[in-house]
Amino acid sequence: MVSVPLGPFDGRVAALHPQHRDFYIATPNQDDVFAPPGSCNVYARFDGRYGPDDHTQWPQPFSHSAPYLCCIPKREGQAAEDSIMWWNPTRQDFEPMLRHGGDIGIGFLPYDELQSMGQCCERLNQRVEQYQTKINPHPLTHSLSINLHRTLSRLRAVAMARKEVLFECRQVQRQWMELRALMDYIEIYEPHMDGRIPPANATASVIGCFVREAHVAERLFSAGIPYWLIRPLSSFSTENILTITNIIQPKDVLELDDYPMPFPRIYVGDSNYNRFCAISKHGLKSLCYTDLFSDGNPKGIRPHEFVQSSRTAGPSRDHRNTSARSQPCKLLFPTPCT
Amino acid sequence: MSLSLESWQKALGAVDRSPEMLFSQTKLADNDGKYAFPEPGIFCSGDNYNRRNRYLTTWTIIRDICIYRLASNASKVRLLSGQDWRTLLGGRAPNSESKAGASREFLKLLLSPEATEFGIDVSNLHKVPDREFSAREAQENMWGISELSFRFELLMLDRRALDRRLFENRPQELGSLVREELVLHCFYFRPDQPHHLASVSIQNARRGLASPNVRDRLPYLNALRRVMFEWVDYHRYHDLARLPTPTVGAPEVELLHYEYVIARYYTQTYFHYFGRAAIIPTTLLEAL
Repeated sequence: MVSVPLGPFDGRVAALHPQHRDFYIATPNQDDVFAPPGSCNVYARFDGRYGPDDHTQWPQPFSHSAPYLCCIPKREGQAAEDSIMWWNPTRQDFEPMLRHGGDIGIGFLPYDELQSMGQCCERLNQRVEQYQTKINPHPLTHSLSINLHRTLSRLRAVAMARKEVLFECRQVQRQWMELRALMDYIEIYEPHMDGRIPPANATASVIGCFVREAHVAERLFSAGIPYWLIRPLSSFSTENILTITNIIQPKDVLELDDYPMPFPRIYVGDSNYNRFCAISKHGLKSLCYTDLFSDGNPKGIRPHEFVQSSRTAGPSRDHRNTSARSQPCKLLFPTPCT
Repeated sequence: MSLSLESWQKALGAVDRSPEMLFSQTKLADNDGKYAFPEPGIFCSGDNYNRRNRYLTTWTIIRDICIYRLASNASKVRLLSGQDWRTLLGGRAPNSESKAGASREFLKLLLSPEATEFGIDVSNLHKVPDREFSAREAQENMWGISELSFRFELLMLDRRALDRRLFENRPQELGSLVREELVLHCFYFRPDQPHHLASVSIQNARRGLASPNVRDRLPYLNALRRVMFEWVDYHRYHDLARLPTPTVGAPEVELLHYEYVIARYYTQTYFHYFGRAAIIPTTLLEAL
């Protein structure tokens, strides 16, 4: 019978590390052990999420650059009105635009779901606005809030192909979760970690993270954030481990199939802050309009770079007779056309 | 068609179109001089109602595809010349042996270079029967085209004309998302409406820069000036750079002059970089 509470280095459950057998994984506040990410091959899958490399559905190594990511909320225990952020759209969740009876191949997410997402984002936005009235608010709250707003606006305003509607819906969900995680980290969990308020007496319903550093484990423990501590077997001494368990693999619980026209690979390497940045960048890419006058140059054409060369290259503009050129200036004068 | 606002109309008429006013006397990009959306005037040239109905029928089908092409991060988007737009909107039957048919096929490729793989299909445009558009419907459609064109032209001009040397110590403000946020402030959006350039609503055809009252236009003119403030020649254009910002209570003539000076700089700068007239904001008469 356990009469002493578990400490930050104890294990309610534990398992041997699946790749490195001289390490073990233990967690004091969870009932399962998930497989720690190895080398990543990041791309969106059939459901528009990034499989085991997606921090919104699978724990990742703790990031000192983005510590709030371990506070991504889990569906369990959340308010019912926020459940749209865990909704899994399918291919059928697409309302095609019909033009003269024909499907032109683009459309929107169903209206009700779009409305729910909008309301959910608005509630979070109000929380962020209230927080931002404080002195020295975290600068990331502003940019994450803007990006969420922009992604949702695009999803509402622009009819897109089915694949893109799915992907953009996932981006709204992901950005909402990240902003919510940041707000919770700042307002709920960090005060526990810093000792400003007493340790949490319950485990948070968040995704959590993998940890190797003891002092990080102690901070997470005090905030009730789920974590899985990875340690060498040789360091094991007096820690309590209640149960040895099997490791849950991504294939057991996640969608890993590719989309019929697969999404591009966006990152290969360790699961670290660069993986997170690659996912963020990929999600925001669609917000950046193609430069129509860059001729495919991803950096765009900068006029002052052409000051020298432009006089000698390319076909001439026809300015010998400007009146022969298309004259929209004149057409715009009032010529009633009814 | 929708009505141009007087200050903008005058400014467009005053554009100096001499060759030396061009940034480059050679084309810098394939898309130079071309249009993201059809030039509104082609819908009513010649008072040919059948042709207008045909053009508008096609336009209402492809409108959202055109927006989708522009409002995405495609690797390359091809714009169309005025003649290409006429051919596309005319919706002639594809026939690779005739000149028009070849052009039509070509336009199909232009319209969806990456879109076909997503299932976007405009190959049956020529089979869609013409719809009869009332005068009001035609006006509303043309207002929508003008508005879309102006918005996207402003966004693209901002990219071209932005003086990047001003941002050496604050490169983060050069980001396209930051600039677009400034551009979005130039337009009126209802609270329930997505804040997006593509979100053009006929309910707003008399709001923002399109308001018939110059006092209501003032905040949006100020926002436009704020965008142009960091363009390459802004501070050399003394008429504008040294012009005090009027208050909303200023005499109407002063407000209209303010609008004219802003529009004059905008339209001249557009010609400077793109070698053609800018599409300008328009308004719509109230529905009877």
